[in-house]
Amino acid sequence: MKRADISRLVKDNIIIIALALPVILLTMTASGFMTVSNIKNIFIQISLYGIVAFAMTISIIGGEFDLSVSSLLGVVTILFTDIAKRVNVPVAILVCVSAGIVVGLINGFMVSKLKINAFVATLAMMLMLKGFALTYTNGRPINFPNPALNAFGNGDFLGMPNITLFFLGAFLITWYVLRNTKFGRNVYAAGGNLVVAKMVGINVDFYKTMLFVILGFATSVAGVLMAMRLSSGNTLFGGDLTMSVVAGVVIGGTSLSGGRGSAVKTFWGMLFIGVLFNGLQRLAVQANWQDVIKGSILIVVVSVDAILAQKIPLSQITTGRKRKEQISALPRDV
Amino acid sequence: MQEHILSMRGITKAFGSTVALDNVDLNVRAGEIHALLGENGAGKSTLMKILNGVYAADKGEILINGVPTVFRNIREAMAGGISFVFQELNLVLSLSTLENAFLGRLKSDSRGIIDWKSMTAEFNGFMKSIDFEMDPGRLVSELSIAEKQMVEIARALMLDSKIIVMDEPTATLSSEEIHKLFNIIRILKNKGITIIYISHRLEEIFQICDRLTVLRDGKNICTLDVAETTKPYLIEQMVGRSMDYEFPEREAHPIGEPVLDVKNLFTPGFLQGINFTLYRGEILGIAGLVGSGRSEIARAVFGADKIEKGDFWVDGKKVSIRSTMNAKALSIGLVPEDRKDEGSSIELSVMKNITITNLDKVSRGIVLNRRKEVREAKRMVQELGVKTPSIHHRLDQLSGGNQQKVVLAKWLYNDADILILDEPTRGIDVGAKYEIYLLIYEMVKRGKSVIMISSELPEIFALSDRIMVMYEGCLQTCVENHEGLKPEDIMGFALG
Ligand SMILES: Nc1ncnc2c1ncn2[C@@H]1O[C@H](COP(=O)(O)OP(=O)(O)OP(=O)(O)O)[C@@H](O)[C@H]1O
Ligand SMILES: [Mg+2]
Repeated sequence: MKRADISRLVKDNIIIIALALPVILLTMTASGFMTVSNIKNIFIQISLYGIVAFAMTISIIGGEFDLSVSSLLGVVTILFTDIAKRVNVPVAILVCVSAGIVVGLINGFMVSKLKINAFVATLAMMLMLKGFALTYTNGRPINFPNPALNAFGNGDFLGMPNITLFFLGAFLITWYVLRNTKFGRNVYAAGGNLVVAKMVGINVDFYKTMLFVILGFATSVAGVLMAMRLSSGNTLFGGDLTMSVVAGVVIGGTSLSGGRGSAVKTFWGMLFIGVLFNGLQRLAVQANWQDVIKGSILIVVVSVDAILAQKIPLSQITTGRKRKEQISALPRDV
Repeated sequence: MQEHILSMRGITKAFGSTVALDNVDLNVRAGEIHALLGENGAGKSTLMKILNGVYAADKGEILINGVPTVFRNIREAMAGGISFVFQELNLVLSLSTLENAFLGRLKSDSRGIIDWKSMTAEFNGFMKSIDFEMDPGRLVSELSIAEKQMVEIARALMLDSKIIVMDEPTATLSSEEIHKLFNIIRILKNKGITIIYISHRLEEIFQICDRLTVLRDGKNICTLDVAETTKPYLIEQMVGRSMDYEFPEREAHPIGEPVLDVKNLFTPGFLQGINFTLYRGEILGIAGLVGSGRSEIARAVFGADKIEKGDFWVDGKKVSIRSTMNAKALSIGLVPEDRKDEGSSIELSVMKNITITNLDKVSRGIVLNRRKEVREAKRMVQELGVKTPSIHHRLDQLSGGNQQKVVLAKWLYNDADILILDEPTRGIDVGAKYEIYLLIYEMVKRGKSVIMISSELPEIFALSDRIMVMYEGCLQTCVENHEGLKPEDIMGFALG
């Protein structure tokens, strides 16, 4: 193998190498890290956020971004517990999923039709949802201890936690849709170059809207599962959702500039986040320090990735591999 | 022997398994205009990018005035007295014309505050000297492709370099602007400035160049005095075989009923009531200067721009075209003039760029049939002779002309009933052009209709059944293309 091939291999799989490091370190230092129950634990920890992460991957590839998911998750847990308590579970699920989709439609409408920047539009949505949740609950959590729901949320199927099955399901669906469907291909096209996508007659407004609808839907599913698991709804749930999910997507190697990325990358990225969080807990690092460490590691991983990308000769980059390189280097150099 | 201001010796450069340059020499004399010729992918741009440090050569040396020199980046090259007009425009769309013209060397006073006045004065002075009108405050994103090209040229020429490299500066210009550009090139030459000039328009070589070097498949073929050679000989050197004609012979093909009727088309501040009809199996050429509204017609019919008013009939039925989606649903296609910003996505591979115009053709239901997609993409790449190591390579690894072929390929693959081509052969070499003309004939023989916009009159003359001439947003005339028609007749209308 030529040197360039090796370095490309390294670059493409940097996330796996980045993952191996903490895994080895933690196996040596934290007792009980490399056990079946802890690994299961890690998966449980990332499963719900992971569902949202895959939806976020699609939207970032499509060139958009959603800050409102963190508030939406809290709203969904509240709606679910409250309605399940007062009416019944099927209605609660229906309302929650519809709410997620409606929020997605509104975000999508603001971005595609009103041409509001996604950052601003979803920031506004985040605030509104947060305000709605606080008004609805007066800031108090709603509890609904229902044994059946709780058993489902915490249950296993064939040794796999139920929520992890949802996570894996979301992974497979996202992987397939991005790779093998017209929808997925058009998302890449719209995220890669919006003007070009328009010029081949792609309904870019529809695709932009769908990105947010998928996110709303995925978040509502995650929210319902979370409410079942915890038997309660709370405005505070999901406070760190956006940050964790975007970190996972970016660490995995999906480009924030759109047009490149994959579900597989996000799978590894979320696993990395899971291992990291788990490890920090196991090492009994103080909670406030944990955030500092998480932030620093995010920077390190992403910059190592960027540096490696620049070391690779241009000719070695084919599509599917990340990196927006330009041969015409003028704007970069001047 | 005359002194060489620039000598590139034994330059070799490979990209992975593609050998772009193989032991290439280029010797340029001080004060001459030296043409660099060769087919698409011959290695011209790569050689120039080695000169300015965008790429490092695998082997070889560069002498400037006899002194071995290596520039590590464009900044160093500019500081060393060499400036560049790149084949791919390097403009920041969100900045003004003036800011782009001074990109990287904005003038400021001692406190670091930008000196807009002196930059504006210099810019206006320069534009005046080449007799070209341009508002320095306009955003580059609003400029036409030809205007963008002029900004790019201005940026390089204002630098006062000793050597200026121009990589296909005229590909996006019309005869009017080319004329102005040549005037300034002659002035520069009189000032003793050396110019390396790349173009696929061979007439230009005979108009302004002194000597030339031909590359083929990354190898030196010859270096000649322009005065000692002829166009057919040059073509032979470039493509490696003799070509008797630049254009295929016109064959009679049946022309049927109207497929597209455009009535009373107005666009905001541009088109002034355009009426025309396109028939089945017809090639309708549109001539006119850059900015005369040719592209605006194309974009309006394709739904890419908002129109003020106007009616469209397709196959005798009144239709509404409000978006590119409408147009595509009516089986209308457009190859846009701006390859970089509208035609192709460098984020995607050659294959994905091609099939994106019609994913239905390679999928069952909503699912892509990847095998079929690969097959179709390979077929198109072969038909158009796109030079690429594989269909999975990113587009920016192809030479400029080959990128243009991909933009054509994507719409030929789509197989629309009405195909609008806006400067389809821009930057494409003589040999490949011939093949493309054959493909266009092939289309109309199958009952498709083509609207072709081109700044190259010979191309319009060789292919069109009828020729429409535009002037300042108005349709001046529409004539049958027959033996007796002369370019002067058309130019007369184009100039108003
Ligand atoms: N960054 C790159 N990575 C891989 N291959 C490249 C890259 N740049 C150029 N090549 C290859 O090198 C060869 C020469 O390309 P180059 O751009 O120099 O051609 P050119 O003579 O300028 O052609 P054109 O007339 O089409 O502009 C081509 O085969 C091209 O595919
Ligand atoms: Mg080139």
